[in-house]
This record gives sequence, structure tokens and C-alpha cells, in this order.
Amino acid sequence: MMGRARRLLARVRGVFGAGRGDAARAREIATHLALLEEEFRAKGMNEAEAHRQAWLKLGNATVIREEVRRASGIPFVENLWRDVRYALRQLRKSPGFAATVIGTLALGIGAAAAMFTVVDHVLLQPVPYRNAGRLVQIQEVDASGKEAWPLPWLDIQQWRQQSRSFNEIAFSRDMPGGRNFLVSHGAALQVNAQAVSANLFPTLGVQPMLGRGFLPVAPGFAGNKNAGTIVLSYAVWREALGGQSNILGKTVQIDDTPHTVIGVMPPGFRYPADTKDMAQVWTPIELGKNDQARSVVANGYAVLGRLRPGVTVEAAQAEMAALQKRVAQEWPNAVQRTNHSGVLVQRYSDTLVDTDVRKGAAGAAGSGGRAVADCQRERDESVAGAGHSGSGRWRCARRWARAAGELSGRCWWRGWC
Amino acid sequence: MSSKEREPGQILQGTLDLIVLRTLETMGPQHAYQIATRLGQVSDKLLSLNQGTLYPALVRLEQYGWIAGAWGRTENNREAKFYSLTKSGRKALAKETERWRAMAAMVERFLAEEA
Repeated sequence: MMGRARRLLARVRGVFGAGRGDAARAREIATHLALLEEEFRAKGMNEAEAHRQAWLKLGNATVIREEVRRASGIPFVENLWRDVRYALRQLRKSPGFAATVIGTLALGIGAAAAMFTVVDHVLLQPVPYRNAGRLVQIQEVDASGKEAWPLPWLDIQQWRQQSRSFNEIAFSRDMPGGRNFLVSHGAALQVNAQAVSANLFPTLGVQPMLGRGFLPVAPGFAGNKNAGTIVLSYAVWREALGGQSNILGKTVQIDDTPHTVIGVMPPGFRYPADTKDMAQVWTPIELGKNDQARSVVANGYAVLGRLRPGVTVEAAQAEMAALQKRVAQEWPNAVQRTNHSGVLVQRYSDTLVDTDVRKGAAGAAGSGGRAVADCQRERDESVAGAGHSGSGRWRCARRWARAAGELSGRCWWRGWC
Repeated sequence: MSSKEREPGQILQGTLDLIVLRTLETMGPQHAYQIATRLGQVSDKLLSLNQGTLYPALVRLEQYGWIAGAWGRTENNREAKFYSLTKSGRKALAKETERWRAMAAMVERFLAEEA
């Protein structure tokens, strides 16, 4: 009796498969068949006939198995695996074709990934500031467009007094020393330390999360009210100072110089925007003797302006170019007057990538990229302003779709030619 | 003969779920053989289905969570999987019954009109 049951089970397994789910199903069906056989024997059939009739009554085993599998959702995976194996076999058979396919895929994926990286860096997450599209970098250049160095305080001062294009002009430079260490309770953390003008945070449109920013004072050569203070990035506050809630007013040392913590910036905030390291600190610029003259040893600054509403980058460029012609005359010698004769006003987010990369992106992406940038600007405005607006998001989505279409079209065209 | 056999099969396709659920509701936990036998009895052999076609329906219903299977022993001590109606199965049965009745009534109205 037992032997027969086992034989039956073996046979059912043979038909219904021996996988894990299959085994249980086979046991179930074996019982079913056994009961059917009993039923037919009870009707007076011999064993062989009852066996045959039981299988007939159960129906076409292959069809049932397929139906059961379809119902359990197995065939999709199975078919997929079969397709993959088939594809691999075909590729092995014709290596030339395989190389072509792999090369095409690699190029396609690589190009797409590269484009995404560029778009992501350039356009999607460039600058965590309010209304970032209105932030511009201002540099001094010579007639050929080559950057002039240093860009001294005295020139910035003229721009602040005479230009009409900007709500704010802020400036900053790396703190001296190159590598700076923040020391607190004997532990040291390497930080990126920036000396910044008091109006930098208002210019960027970002408020500290804790405490305050620097007091609004006009830069001067006398000691100012911000002297000896420091604002920390969120990462520094969390990592080096354990996120203490009573951090304000505490003293930390930057390379042996004590600073009083007055504020902590929100998570994700960084300036300059291309700083890789999130461990940043900002101290107020104190003007000194290297700021008192235009010379090769003067302190050089990075300058950031916020355009007045309605003023385009081009308009600001035109105004500043005219202004700088006069300012450059203040430089002591003829070579310097030539070298500093022009300015370059660029959207800040556009300055954050290598020129080559930007050219590549602009060339390939063309108006697609611009659409994305426009969209990003709009989003920035809505984020920093009244918050997300549903319609804005849809407009963005549509613009995105159009941009993506144009982008792929252009890439395809360039790849083809 | 073959077309006669196929026709009830086609009808079954849409209604087998409902019939299985109803069988489990009236009879309590049943294994596949019992369900199939019950189907034959009630339908007066009109649905002379291949009993194996029950299995996909059981798998499907189990995946919906409408029935739950548990291994147990038959009267003469064979191991078998007993299916019973779950709570959501009971709800689904009520809904399906309603849908079926509405559908049947609608078709019936059309047929009456024709006559």
C-alpha cells in the first residue's frame, strides 16, 4: 500500500515538477488521484482501469501544470530567464555581433549616465540657495576674457557704490592657511573655512538654522562687531560638536584662534557651492593691510551678486563692463590696467562646472538643458517662496518631458552624424 | 461532443472562483477531491470538468487571500490540503454573489425581451 502511494507520488512529481512549491502540489494531487482511483475501484473497475480513469478524470497534466504556474506567477520569471539564456547563447555563437551589441549598449548607457551626471550636477542640484537663478559670479578679466587676479576689495567697493544691477554684492575668500582645523575639547576636524562678507548669507537668501548670521555692518578697516565670531555648517555642528543644542556662545578654535559660535546653517547648505566637504565654517572678513591697495599681493576675493528683479545677466554684464573700464584706471601700472579692464558676469550655477563639461553639456543639451535650467529656477523660486505649488510642478513636469525629448533627439542626431 | 465539453468549461472560467468559494462556505474546509466531487453532484454532472482545472483556481484564490490551505488527514488517513474560506474570502463571496446576480438578472431581462 505504502509502496504504491510512493510510486504514485513519484509519477505525479515527474509530471508536475519537483521544485519546492511543486512538491507540495504533487503531494496534493497524488492524494486527489488516489481518491479518484478508490472511487473507480468502488465502482467495480480493476486497478489498472481505475488508475487510467483517475488520470483521465484529472485531465491533461501538462495543461494543468501550466495553468497552475501561470496562476502562481512563475512563468514571467521563467520566461525571462529562458530569454536571457537564449540571448547569451546567440551572443556566444556570433562574437562580432555580440561585440557590436555590447559596444552599443556600453556607449548608450555610458553616454546617458554621463549626461545625467552633468545635468544632475549642473542643473538639478547646483545651488541650495533662494532664487538661485538670480545669483551671479563677478570676475575681472582682460580683453581676451582671461581671469585677472587678484580681485581686490577696493574694486569691489567701487562696484558696491556705483552699480545699479544688484541688490547685494557679497564676497569671500578661503581663510589663510589652506588647511584649517577646528578644535573643540581636544578633538580636531579638518574643515573648509571661508572668510565671508557680513551680507553673504542674506545674499544667498539662507538663514542659519540656529542662532544668527553676521551683523549687517559695512566692511571697513577698523575692527568690526562681527570680529571673532563663527558660523558652523550642520555637518560640523553634528560631527565635531555632537549637535549640542547649547552650542551658541561656545568657543571653538580654528587653527589656535578662538571663535565664538553665533549660528549653525541648515543641513545641505554649503558655500561655495562646489565645496565637496560638508564640514565648513564661515568667519567674517576683517579687512587688513592687504586690502588697502591694488597690487599683486592684495587679497583676492570671489564675488557674488544678487541681481535686482528684472535685471538680466546680460544687462548686468553691460553695466559692469562700462563701470570696470573706469575702475581699472585706478590700478597703478599700465599692464594691470589692461589685465583688469573687463568683467565677466555669469550665472553662479553656470560657474560650478568645468568649462569643457559645460560646453559639452550646452552643445549636446542645447535648449533642452536650458529648459531644465528654467524649470529649476522656477522650482527654486517656488521652494523659497510660498512653497510648492501644484500647477508649478505640472508645468515643470511638462517642461521636463519636452526637455528630455529634445535632449535625446539632439544626442541621437549628434551620435548619428 | 468536444464542443459540448468546451462550453461548460468556458462558462466555468469566470464563475469557478465563485462556485469554489460558495462550496467552501456551505461545506466548511474541503480538500480538492471533495470540492471537485461536490461540484459534480450539485451541477448534476452538467459541469463534467476535468478535476485538475480546479487547481489553478485554488492557487489563484489562495493568492488573493480568499482561501487558506492547511495540511491535514482524510478519513482514511491520507494527507491532503484542506481549503477553508478566509474572512476576506467571505467578503469577496458576498460581493461576487451580488455581481453574479445582477449580471444574471440583466441577461435574463434581455432574454425575456427577445421572446
